[in-house]
Amino acid sequence: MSLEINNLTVELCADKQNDKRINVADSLFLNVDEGEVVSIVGESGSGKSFLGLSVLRLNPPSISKIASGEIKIKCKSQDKEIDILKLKPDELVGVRGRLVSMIFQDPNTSLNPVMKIGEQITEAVLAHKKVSKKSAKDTAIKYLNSMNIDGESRFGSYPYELSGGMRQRVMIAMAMVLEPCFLIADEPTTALDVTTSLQVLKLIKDIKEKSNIGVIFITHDLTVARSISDRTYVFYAGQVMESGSTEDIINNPAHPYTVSLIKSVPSLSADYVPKQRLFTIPGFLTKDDFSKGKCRFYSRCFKRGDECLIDIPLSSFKGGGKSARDVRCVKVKNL
Amino acid sequence: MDENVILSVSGLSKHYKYYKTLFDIKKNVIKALDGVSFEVFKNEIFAVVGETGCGKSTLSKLILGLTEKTSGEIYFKGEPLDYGNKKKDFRKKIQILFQDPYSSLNPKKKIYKIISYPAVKNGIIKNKKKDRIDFAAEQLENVGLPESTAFSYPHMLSGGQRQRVGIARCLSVRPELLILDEPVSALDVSISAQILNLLTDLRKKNGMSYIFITHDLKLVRHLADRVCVMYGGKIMEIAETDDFFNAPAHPYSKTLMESMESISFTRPNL
Repeated sequence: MSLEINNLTVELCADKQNDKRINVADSLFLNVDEGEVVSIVGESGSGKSFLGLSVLRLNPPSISKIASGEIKIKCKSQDKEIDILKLKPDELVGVRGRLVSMIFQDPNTSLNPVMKIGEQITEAVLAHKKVSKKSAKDTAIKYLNSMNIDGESRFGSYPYELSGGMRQRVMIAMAMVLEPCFLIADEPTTALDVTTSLQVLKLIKDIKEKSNIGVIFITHDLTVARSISDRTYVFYAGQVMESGSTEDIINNPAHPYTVSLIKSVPSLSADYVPKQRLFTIPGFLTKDDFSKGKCRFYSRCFKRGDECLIDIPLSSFKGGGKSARDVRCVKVKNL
Repeated sequence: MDENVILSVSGLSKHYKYYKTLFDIKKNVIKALDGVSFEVFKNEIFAVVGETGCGKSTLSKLILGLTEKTSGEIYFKGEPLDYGNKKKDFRKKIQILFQDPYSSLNPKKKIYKIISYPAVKNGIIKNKKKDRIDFAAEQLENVGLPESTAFSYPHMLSGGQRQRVGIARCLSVRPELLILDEPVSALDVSISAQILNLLTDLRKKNGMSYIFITHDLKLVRHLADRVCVMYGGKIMEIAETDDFFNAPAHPYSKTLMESMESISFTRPNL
């Protein structure tokens, strides 16, 4: 069981009149195995949510196009490997929700406010499986129960009657009800409190261990990535800047962007001195950062130099940690 | 009263009444705030921590006079806070910075209008276009934005820039107390560090007090002088920041600390 993204390039139309296009995903390689959580960390506008949508081909076709690449899925329920990008639109229905499903960021807006939550879950079951309404309802209740929600009494509740954390758990129940092999979680804890987001993170971890699925966890917070994932891809302006095991990346960051990200968060550790000035990354991510012919982090980097003004390839990085790492920076020397 | 106290709250309560069903005869009562007392000193950052629904926002609304209190007293520099007769005085002295810079700026107004509006309303400058532009340019410089921003619309700016505009707007009337309602939770990590540094610098320059409402304990430790933990409309603990992080006294504070630590760089995985 594995999901492999090879050389994926997604074009987004940035300026319709001048036909200006930017690559929101630029020759991207990513793979997830069963029972593994892989997180994608990047700031808003870096294209990480767009990547999640592209995997299911949910990217809006009017403004974006998948230019090249393959997304291969091997699943236990499928005898042979399938490439999502080669499927016809009607064949995609068998993939979405069934093989790969998705949880969205904001549970307040992604649930239908005028439908009972139970009906929203059974709707997914009835659309995909030939089962009776009765057994679909039983499945829904079973899944609600497994998310620590009392299924019997909450089946008939409307989303407004639930708290934010409960709504997010309903979303997870809805994503899991068809027993997919892979789950894409797009910032599932960003809209939640500390205590509730911890519950949701634990729940995702439990599900992963119980049903042995692969999870792509999209987040902007390295601390959240650390608490849940095995491997991390640090994403900036449509490119992977650094990838490797999460522990290694956080204890021993190599790329200047990762270094700055970690430095700019105040910490709770004992040796941290409060009230000093925080380290900042100057400026912000703009459309121009997506252009070719230079490092995409060039305009904000503290290590930049003339040698950065080329297209920089992702090269393997030895030293610092046990596992394999890739870094996209010319300034990083192999130890 | 102590000279150094800028805001003093005693026994403050706010109860909301509602009908559970359409046919209820008696109203139900939600105690959003229940007998809260604390003091904020001059030049202090006072952090209010708690989860959603614990009454943080109700507290800030009461201090700003956006809603009527049920009982209790609020004193601002020894004077009872009265938005009935002396509204203009207090509006100038207490300001708020909102959480979400994407929804707190009017999308139809240019930035210079957004920034200079409170000053015009409070009679600090005249309602003339040139005055307003000059005034806005000055305020923009304070928060590190170029003058040319004055003629943009909010949608042309990034999240961090918008939050800076928000800061410029609430500082334009020279407040003495600023309520920060989760100022960086809608922003990226790299941008939030910029905003936090800016807020620290501005406080040094202008000598203000902050009431810092948040649920992120990392920021509390970084910024605050004293911490107040709220739960269910009541205050659970008020402590100096160092004492709080060395040994949280209340069980709820401990729970909060533990859940925060498991999502951080310092602790082992879940």
